[in-house]
Amino acid sequence: MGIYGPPNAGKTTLANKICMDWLGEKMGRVSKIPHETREVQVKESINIKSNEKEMTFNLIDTPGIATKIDYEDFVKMNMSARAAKQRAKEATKGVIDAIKWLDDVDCVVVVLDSTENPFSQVNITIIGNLAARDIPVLIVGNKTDLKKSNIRKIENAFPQYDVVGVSAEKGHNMEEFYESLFRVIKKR
Amino acid sequence: MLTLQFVPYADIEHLGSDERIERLLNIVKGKRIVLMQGRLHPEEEALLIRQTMEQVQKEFIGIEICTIFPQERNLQFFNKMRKEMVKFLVGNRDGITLIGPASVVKEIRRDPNRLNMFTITPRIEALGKKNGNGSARKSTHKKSRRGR
Repeated sequence: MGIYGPPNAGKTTLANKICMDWLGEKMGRVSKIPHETREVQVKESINIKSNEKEMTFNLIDTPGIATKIDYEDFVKMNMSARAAKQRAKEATKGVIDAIKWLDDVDCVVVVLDSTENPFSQVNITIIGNLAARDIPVLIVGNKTDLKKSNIRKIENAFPQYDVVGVSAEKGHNMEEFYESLFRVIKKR
Repeated sequence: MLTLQFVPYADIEHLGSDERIERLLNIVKGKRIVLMQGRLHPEEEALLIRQTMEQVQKEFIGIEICTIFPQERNLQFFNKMRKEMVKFLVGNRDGITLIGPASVVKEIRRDPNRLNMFTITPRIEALGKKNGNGSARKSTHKKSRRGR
């Protein structure tokens, strides 16, 4: 199961929450600076249970997919020019790797920041690609604990998909997330 | 000055995915904005992002891309099938695709039937430098294109 989405949507926070819930350990580091995850992370054999159903999968946490990466954006976040350039270089490679991994996933959780406009081309491209490959998709509107969160906007943007709102950081609504995951996989 | 280069679908339909993307990226790397008839296949869009990332460097920080296309969710079954058949035979010519260099186009916001393009105005940046004000802020202005 792959976790995809734009940078800073909370993919690794959700991956950490899933791993904490079922393995008791975290998966990766999170940061407010975009592109913290620059390498694909894999956790094997996660066994989850919900309503007497059970499944085991390998979890793939991918770097955020972006169409532009400017090291100056990292400099503005108080990184040194050298560190910013290195981060930008690694981030571009991360995006390439994330796209390559699309060939190897059986199911995808697309994590979107529910406080942002969902009509971004990156979101449309990711979801369009998964549809073209006939891969089951669950859309997660993350950060529901924030005031600006708007799950309805995501539902309206992608009416043909299951959408569930969570706060991965606070652990809100994870039960519904797991139920939705089983539902989406069952459809396949 | 902003330059929009129109790319009719007929100009790229005979090309393979790699060549098609190379053609579009070459225009964008020349600091022009592509206004393409129709849209790329989703897998080509992913390839476009991948090839963009492979070419990111100091002078080319990436692209802004946005497509706008007719909503098809209310089409009846027969019309939907007919449209899919046409797409299969002649490619997806519905809608338009805008692709701009990220150094010129700051953001394109899609609001189902409207595109708002926010551009970085180099003239003001240059003026700031000329006046010795190296910290002149990038300014943006908005262009609007109404869809159907």
